[in-house]
Amino acid sequence: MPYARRILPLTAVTIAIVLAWIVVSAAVVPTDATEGVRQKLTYLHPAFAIITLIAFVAGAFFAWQHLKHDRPIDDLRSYVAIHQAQNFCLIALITGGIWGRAAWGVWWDWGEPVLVTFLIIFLLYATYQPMRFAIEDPERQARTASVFAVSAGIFAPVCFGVVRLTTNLLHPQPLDDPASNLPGTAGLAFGLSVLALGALFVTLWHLEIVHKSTRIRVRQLQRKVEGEDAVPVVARASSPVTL
Amino acid sequence: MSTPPAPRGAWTGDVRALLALEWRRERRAPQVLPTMVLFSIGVFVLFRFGLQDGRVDGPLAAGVLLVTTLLAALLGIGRLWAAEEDEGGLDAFRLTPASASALVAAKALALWSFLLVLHLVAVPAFAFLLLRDGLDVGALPTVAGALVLCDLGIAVTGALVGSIAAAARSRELLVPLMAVPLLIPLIALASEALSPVLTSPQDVVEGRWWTALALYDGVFLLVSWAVSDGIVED
Repeated sequence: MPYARRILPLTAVTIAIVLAWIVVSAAVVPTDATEGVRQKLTYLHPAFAIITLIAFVAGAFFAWQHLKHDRPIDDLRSYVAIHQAQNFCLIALITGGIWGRAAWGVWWDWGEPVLVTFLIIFLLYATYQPMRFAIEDPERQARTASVFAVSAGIFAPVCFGVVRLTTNLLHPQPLDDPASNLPGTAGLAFGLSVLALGALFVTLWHLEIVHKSTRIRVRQLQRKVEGEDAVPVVARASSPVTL
Repeated sequence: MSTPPAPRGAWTGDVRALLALEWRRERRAPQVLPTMVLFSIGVFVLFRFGLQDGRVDGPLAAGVLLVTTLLAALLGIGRLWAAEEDEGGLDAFRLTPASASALVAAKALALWSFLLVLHLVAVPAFAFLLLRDGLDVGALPTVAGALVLCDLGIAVTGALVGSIAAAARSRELLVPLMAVPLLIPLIALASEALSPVLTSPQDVVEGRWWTALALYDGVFLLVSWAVSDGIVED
């Protein structure tokens, strides 16, 4: 079973990093005098967004590997990376809304290019599953999904680049701003947030791969023992890898 | 799919033959081009009424022209791979020694040429129906350049999206869902490149928009070439 042995050590490391992140963000970094507690969202929301983008690019990388080597496991890796990234993307959008409400007084600002770009990327990836499972032939499904993942994975950073080129950002970048009076520990908390959520992503990715691989193996055994009809066609078509 | 190396010049010959096939198909049973042209003019008339007989210029004019182009292109993208999927064209193609990238390139070139022909009709119609001070002759090269680059981006991305959606049961629904987000940056860039020349008096277009448009086209050309085997492989 791929990755099963890594789950326990990965989970332990992730828990340690997440605890360090929570302690540093909540207790070590002083609360901002003007922004108050809402400034602590700096140690949550941007990290989700960064990991989301990295995960989409990772999904594209695995999809490219699948197109190159035609290994079903690469398709599964890509599928799971994109699936987890979609969850992270949704959380980034929600936490962004909460931050916007606290900082700007609105849940959403259509004039804010970074928010809108993120929504565009989320909407694009929201078509991944409908597109994938609308293709019945499992091999063609995997191949087409890989083509999509590569295209969308390259699009995501390009889209952000274009937005940064065409518009003046309203989005705050306090860590890059020399006028910002954030303490040195803020950089540590921010770094830890990216590290912690990165570790969380990798652990969840491993967990889902192990879960899906196990289910696929069980179905294969079920078909061997009970015959081809034991697994309904629908279940086969909605699997991310060829059964 | 392992194929013997093609002789030099064979790739361009394949692309030419496939492009000619696309145009022959369109000439025999005109579907895509008339639909796109009629749709665009219909949308301009719609804007004329929607804006209460108002005329547009600057960024609004660029937005109206480009969004109309994008919506018209969606109609073309939806039909681009229809013959391959519905009439077994892809199976027939797989029996030929032509490379997958030649087919994808021919599809992109076909859509690009359809969009260029569309603009030959749609831009004068737009200038006549909606543009506040008409289109200055001096602005034509800039408008043409921006539209050529924008159309190339739409064509390359459209060929890719069309191929992805073609394999699916509900391709008519998937094409706009996938194409619109992918093309938003392109429309944003083209709008920046077009709006100064659609303003009265005209403004100078910054060179960075041309570079960014060309880069966007280049990135998607590379992506299409890289994944073409995945599209066609059996």
